[in-house]
Order: sequence, then C-alpha cells, then structure tokens
Amino acid sequence: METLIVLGSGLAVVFVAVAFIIGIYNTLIVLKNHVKNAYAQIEVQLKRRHDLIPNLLECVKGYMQHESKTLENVTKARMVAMNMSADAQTQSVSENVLSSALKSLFAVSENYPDLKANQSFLSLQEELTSTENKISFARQFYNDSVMKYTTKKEIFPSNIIAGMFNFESFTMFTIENPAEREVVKVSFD
Amino acid sequence: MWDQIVKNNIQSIITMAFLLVLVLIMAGIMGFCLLGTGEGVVIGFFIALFIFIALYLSAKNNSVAFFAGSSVVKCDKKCAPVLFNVVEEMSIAAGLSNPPEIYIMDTSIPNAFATGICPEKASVCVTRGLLELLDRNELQGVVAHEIGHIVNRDIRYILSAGILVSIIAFMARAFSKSGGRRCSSNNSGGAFLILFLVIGIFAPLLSRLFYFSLSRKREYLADACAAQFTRYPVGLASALKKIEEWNKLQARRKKIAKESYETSEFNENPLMAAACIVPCAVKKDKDSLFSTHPSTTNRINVLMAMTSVDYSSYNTAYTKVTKEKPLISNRDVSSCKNHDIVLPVGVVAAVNDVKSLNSIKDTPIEEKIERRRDAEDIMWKHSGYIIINCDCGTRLKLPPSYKGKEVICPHCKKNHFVN
Repeated sequence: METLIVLGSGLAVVFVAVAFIIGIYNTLIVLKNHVKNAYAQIEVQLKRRHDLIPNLLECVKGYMQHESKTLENVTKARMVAMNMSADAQTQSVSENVLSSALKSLFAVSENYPDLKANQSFLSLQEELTSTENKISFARQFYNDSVMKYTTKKEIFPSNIIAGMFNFESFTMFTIENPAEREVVKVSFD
Repeated sequence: MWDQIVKNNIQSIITMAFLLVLVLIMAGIMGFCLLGTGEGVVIGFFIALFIFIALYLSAKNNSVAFFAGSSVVKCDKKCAPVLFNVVEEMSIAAGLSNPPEIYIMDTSIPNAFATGICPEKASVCVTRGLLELLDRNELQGVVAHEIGHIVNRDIRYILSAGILVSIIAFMARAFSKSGGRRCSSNNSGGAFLILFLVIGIFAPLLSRLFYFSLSRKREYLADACAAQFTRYPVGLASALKKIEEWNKLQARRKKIAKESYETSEFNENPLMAAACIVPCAVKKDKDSLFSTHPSTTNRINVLMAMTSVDYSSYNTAYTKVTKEKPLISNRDVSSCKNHDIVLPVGVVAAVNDVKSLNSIKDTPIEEKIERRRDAEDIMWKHSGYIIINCDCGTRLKLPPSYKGKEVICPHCKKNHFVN
C-alpha cells in the first residue's frame, strides 16, 4: 500500500514537471514566431513604399522641371533598395538612403506653391509619410518582440529549457553607420 | 501577452470574483425568499446567469451600437485618410493582426472609445470634435490609448464587471420593492431579511466602488501602453491637456450663456463612460472613489515624468506622482529593466519641459480653421459629396446628384475635373 502511494506521488511529480517544461517550451516557440512575423511585416511596408514612389514622381515631374537632380536621386535610391533584398543589414542601409532622398524631395517641394496646393501631391505626401511611419513602427514592434523573446530566453527557469533545445538568438534593429544618428542635413545645390 | 495582462491585474481578477460571488449570493437569496423553497436558490442562480449571458451577447454582437447609439459613421480610407493611416500605424506598433474598424461620431464633444471583445474584431470610435481639436501626434496618442485598451482585453473586463454591477443594482431594487414582504411572511426569515437588506444597500455601493477602481487602474495601464506604442508620451499628454481645456471652456460658456450646450448623453451611462478616454463634466480634479477615470492632471503628470517608455518607467513615474503602490506586478517590471526602451534624444527634452505641451490658446487660428474644415469634410464625404480643393483656398462641395464632368470655382473661375 505504501509503495503504491509513493509510486503515485512520484508519477504526479514527474507529470507536473513535464507539463511545466512543455508550457515553457511552447511559450518560447510562440514568442519566436512572433519575432519572425514581425520581421516579415517590415518587408511588407518597404515594398509598399517602393510601389508608391513612381506615382509620386509622376505627379511631381510636371511642376519641378528644374529639380532633375533631386528626382534622379530618388529614382536611383529606389532601384538600389529594390535590388538589395538579400541581407538584412545592407537592406536597412539602402532603405535609409531612400528615406533621406525622399526627405530632400519634400523639402524642395516647399519652394513650389502650386505643387503644395495640388491635391494629389498632398495625399501622396501623406501616404509616403504614413508609410515611413509604418516602417518605423514595424521595426519598433520587431524590436519589442525580440526583447520579449530574449527576456524569456534569459530569465530563470526558461533559460534552462532554451539551452536544452538550442533556441536561436535574434538581434534588434540598430544603426550601423554612426553618421545616421546625426540630424539629416538637407541641402539642394 | 495574455499572461502579462492577466498577471498584471490580480486585483481585477479578485474584483471580478467578488462581484460574481455577490451576484450569486443575492440571486440565491432572492430565489429562496420568493419561492420559499431550496430550489429557489438554484432558480435564482440560473436567472442571473441567463440575464448576464443575454446582455453580454447583445453587447458583443452590436458593440458600437450598444455603446453609442446610431449617430456613428463607419469610416474607410477614402473618407478620412489621415485617421485611417494613424489607426493602421498604431495597430502595427501594437502587433494586431488586423486594424480595428473606425467609426466617427458626429458631435463636437472631443472624446474617443474602443469596443470589441477580442482584438481581431475590435472597433475604435472618435468624435468629430476630437478630429477638430488635435493634431496628428496627439491623435496618434489617443488612438494608441484606445488600442491599448483593445490589446489589454479591457473591454471584456469592463463589460463583464459593468453587467454584474447592473444586475446587483437591479436585484437590490427589485427585492426592496416586492420580495422583502414575501420573505418575511414565508418563513422565519427575520434575520434573513435584515441580512438581505444590509446586502441590498451595501452591495450596489460596494460593487460600484470596486468597478470604478478597476476602471481607473485600467485607464492608467492604457496610458502606459500608449506611451510604449508611440514612443512619444508628450503626444497623449498634449491631447489630454487640450481636451481638458476644451471641457473647461464649455463649462464656462454654459455658465455665461445660461444655455444648454450639447450634453454628453452617451457619457452619462457609467457602463459606457468607462470605455471612453475622458469623462465629461467632471467636478473634482482628483482620483475620487466614484470616478471611472483618474484625474486628467494626474495622468498628464505621470506621462510627463517618464524617463523612458517601458512599463517600469511608467510605474516609477506613477508612484512618484500619485504616491501609491505600483500598478504593474514586480515580475514584469524586473523583466523589463534588462532591456530598457530608451526615449529618442529629442523626446527626452520635450518630456521634461511642460511648455512642450500644446494648448488650445497657442494653436494658430489658421490651423484651427483648417482642421475644422477637414473634420467637417469627412462628414460631407460620407454623405456622398465630392470635395474639391481649389488652389485659391475654396473648397467646392458637390452633392451626389451633380452629374457634370467639370466644375468652375466661383471665386477664381478655375476649371476642375470631377472624378
């Protein structure tokens, strides 16, 4: 009789321990998939920006005939960004170059009052601003997801289980080029 | 995220359990007294459960209508592009699988609320007055606050708790009118009767107090979420300041003109009011026991005292300003500290400077006019009008019955194509 009780309680302990481990493992998997999903969202927003730019250039060309250099910069930056989809780091660099080119374009458009009042230009400007914001928020959410996953991976007791099953680490979005931390200087010459 | 939300609010769970137990006790006693037998208790339970499910389902299926009546207008990207973009941006920052539906209420009172039992089927409603008052950053702060409610499943909690409170109040009133006499005549329930009267008077009161404290705590948490999503607590703080100024101006105008301005009917129902961003017509500006929302001054001060944007920073600011126990459980705070979410450089300076808060007086008049015209245009567009902005500054509003392909501006005579 006594051995039965001991056996029963031993099994119960093992059962609870296994359930605990499964729970933590599943949480880690869920958080890891959140990180992957968040990364994919950034790609969605970047592609959207690529698709919007030709419309903007069409709308602007008629008004800004003397600004061929600025328009050329935007076109070139877009081509480079679209082809650089291999590596995450080089991709973010080329995308940041495109962001700066667009900022110059919008700054120059301040000198053209006819363009500023044009309804399609205004709505395109809002769309592009919103797309830039969405890219930032998507990166922000990616960073938040990586933070939650990394925290869960590092705290006790989940770190044991993460180590047992070799969960990979992710890096947050950071600025590689220190010059990008400076305020963007807009010059048109 | 679910475990974070639930564990953050052990108090909310205790509150809900307390309310539930109270409802069951009262239902049981009422059933017993009215029917005189033990089965009455069970019947009482079932009736209370039935009422709860009926109200819950009706709220779930007609969320926005349940809360606001019929004066809401559903919005899409064509109607209100800026608002649509703002909501989409915040849903990305919050990690929602699809952005909530957007509704606009045609009133000049600035307010906003969120409904929806689960994040996939949620909606956000703002008033036309809010769109007239706030700029893009502030609007983003308010929308982030509402999406914070959605993400924290606040609506489900507030709705359930609110329904329980209403059931308790209803039962107390019903019993005091009829059941009391029957109870005392049915059995030797003299002591029982006294017990029930005590419960009948204190229960509605107690339940309301618990409900309001639950609601206040959730509002602070939604503010913390807004700061985290936008990374810009000044936005929401500015919005709150502007709304408060607007309310004070309205109160003053009411007093001077002795007329009745638009009252906030939709705010007077406490079930509904808890979901809004600010209460209307608040008399005292501190956290009173009976208010659904914390005082706006406290909320603004906590937001401006933040040094970074994670929960632990909000907690620190909260304890510093309100001198109360921290809102968020220690377990989650400690897990946040390892990875501090730092405020961008420009924002740190803004947060520490109270002058960086926008106010209604400081907004240039042209901006106010422009925003008001934009907000009104949304309502025109929804009715099928085509809005054309002429270069001379005139806005042409063509009714749906206009069939022509071109239109001439009456001021500058420029020709516009109608698309």
